[in-house]
Amino acid sequence: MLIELNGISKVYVRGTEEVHALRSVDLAIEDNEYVSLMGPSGSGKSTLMNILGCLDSPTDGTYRLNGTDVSRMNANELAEVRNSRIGFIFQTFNLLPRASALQNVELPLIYNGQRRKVRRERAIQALERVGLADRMMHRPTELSGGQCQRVAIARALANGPSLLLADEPTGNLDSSTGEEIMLLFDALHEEGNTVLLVTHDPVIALQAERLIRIHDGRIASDEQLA
Amino acid sequence: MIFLESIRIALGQIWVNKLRTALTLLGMMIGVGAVVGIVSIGEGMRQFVIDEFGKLGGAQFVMITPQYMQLKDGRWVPNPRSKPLTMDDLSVVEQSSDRLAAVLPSMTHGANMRYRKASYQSRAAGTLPEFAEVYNWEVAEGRFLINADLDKLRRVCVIGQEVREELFGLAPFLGRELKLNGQRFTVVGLMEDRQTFGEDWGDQVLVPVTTAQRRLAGNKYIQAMVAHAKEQEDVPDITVAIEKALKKRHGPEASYQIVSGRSILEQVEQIILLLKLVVGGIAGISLLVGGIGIMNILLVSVAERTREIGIRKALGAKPVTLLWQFVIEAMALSLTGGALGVAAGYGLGEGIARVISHYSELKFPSIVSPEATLFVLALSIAIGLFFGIYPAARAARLDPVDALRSE
Repeated sequence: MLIELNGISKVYVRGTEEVHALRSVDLAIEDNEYVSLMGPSGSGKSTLMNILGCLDSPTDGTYRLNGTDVSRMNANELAEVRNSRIGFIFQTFNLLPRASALQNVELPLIYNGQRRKVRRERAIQALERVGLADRMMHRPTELSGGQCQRVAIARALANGPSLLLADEPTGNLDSSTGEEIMLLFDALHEEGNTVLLVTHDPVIALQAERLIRIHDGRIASDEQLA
Repeated sequence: MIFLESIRIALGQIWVNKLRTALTLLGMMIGVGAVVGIVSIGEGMRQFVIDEFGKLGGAQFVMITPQYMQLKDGRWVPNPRSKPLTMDDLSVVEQSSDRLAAVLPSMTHGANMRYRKASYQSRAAGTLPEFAEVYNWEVAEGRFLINADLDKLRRVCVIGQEVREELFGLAPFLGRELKLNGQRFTVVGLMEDRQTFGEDWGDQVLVPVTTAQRRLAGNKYIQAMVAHAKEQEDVPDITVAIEKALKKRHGPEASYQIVSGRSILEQVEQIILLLKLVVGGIAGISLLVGGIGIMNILLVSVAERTREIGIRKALGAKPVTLLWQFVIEAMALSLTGGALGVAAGYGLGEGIARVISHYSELKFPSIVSPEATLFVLALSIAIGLFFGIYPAARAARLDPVDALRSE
């Protein structure tokens, strides 16, 4: 079991009001699954994604990732988990604008403490995997949206993570570029990666093998797709 | 590894915002420059005083003078417990300690000098043959006074450069007779040019002390004695020995003013140290302002780069790593500002020293010691650390989710 959530709750205090973003969520995801997470805004979808990505800790419940309880970890331990186990892909790419594609992909390897030579090799490998071998020295401003998202995917792959966590990865792309990116996710899944897509677009969501709908901080439905 | 990377990131960031960096550096530079400049002038003054004291025989001299007292009507008269000094007192002092190199009389008399049509109003000093050696003052031509001159009360004199110029010009002077207060004296030597504390020694005529007593003063007194210790460490002991010897000779009531060069030098050093501390402290306030500038710029930088910090956190940067990144940025700024400040301070000190030397007789240097430079650079790094730690901690503590959401 890759991911095991038991009774995960998240309560925010906004002013004097308590907001229950997640209410006792149970969820299990196996290795090499291809999962879509859907839900309207305010459903708790983002909160769940942040907790799955170890960016945030739950108020209650346990989260096991690869059998390790990460729900009570401190900031330093969570940073290590994010670095080696999670690959983030964001809607707005979140690349460092002044760094080249190669330097962007090297970032997680730097925080992993890899030697210069090793991280250069791995970053080049990752960029070759997403088909950007010829754009390595370009800055994000010199790349198209699709190319930027490929750089971000290469960066997510750099440390060989257990989970690829993509938040609306096609949200800022035109439809044909979006389709290319989705084909890349399909291929990455074929190669053995576990992919979790967070989206509100049903067309995108239906490309996965499993669809989880979230509503009012609870899992509303969880179905295997053909 | 991550540490090296932090340095690279910090330097890159400093380079990206050139104008902002330059302004921040300027603040630091002015602060450090002011401190370095003032300390270097203080150090130069101190060295100047020590050097000039060296020409006076170093700090190892002890000066003995009769005491004076102020009457109710404001007049100063000799203290009755302090009898006028004579050459016999000098012998007593000479024998008071075996750690004395020499004891010289001090006896200066106003003198009207004449040679043919030329005349010059200055001073004559009665002294001993040891004088030249003690003050390390060389004879330029002819010879200095010798023991036979004193024993036979010869009317001979050795003249300074100024005296020669005024009376003889370029004409020959050795063996010529000049008139001192109407009495004939034969010139036997000429001293080298010399100044201490900007004062010229060349305006005097040196005559045997015995001759001066007989011919110029008309009494057997000397105004003061200057005892020279072999080693500076002996000065306190010698001072005590001299006091004891004088009391033994003149009775337990006898009281003379005994001042050592060491105590004068210590006082001067204290004054200069105080000056350095006070003015340096004021300059240090601008260093504080420079540090606040660094803190300000880093807070802006952290706010501007919140999203970048979020990205780095998402990719696995630990809080401590981000803390280092910003602290290093602060220290790089402060160290660069400090290094520029040292250079500016060196220039400032040099400039002030030149201006003072140009407009006064005091020729003193500006001194920046390697120790002071290292200290100031270390202080700069410490300022960077101190003022950088708060903004850096703010960056390190940012919540990754909030940071990623920021625009």
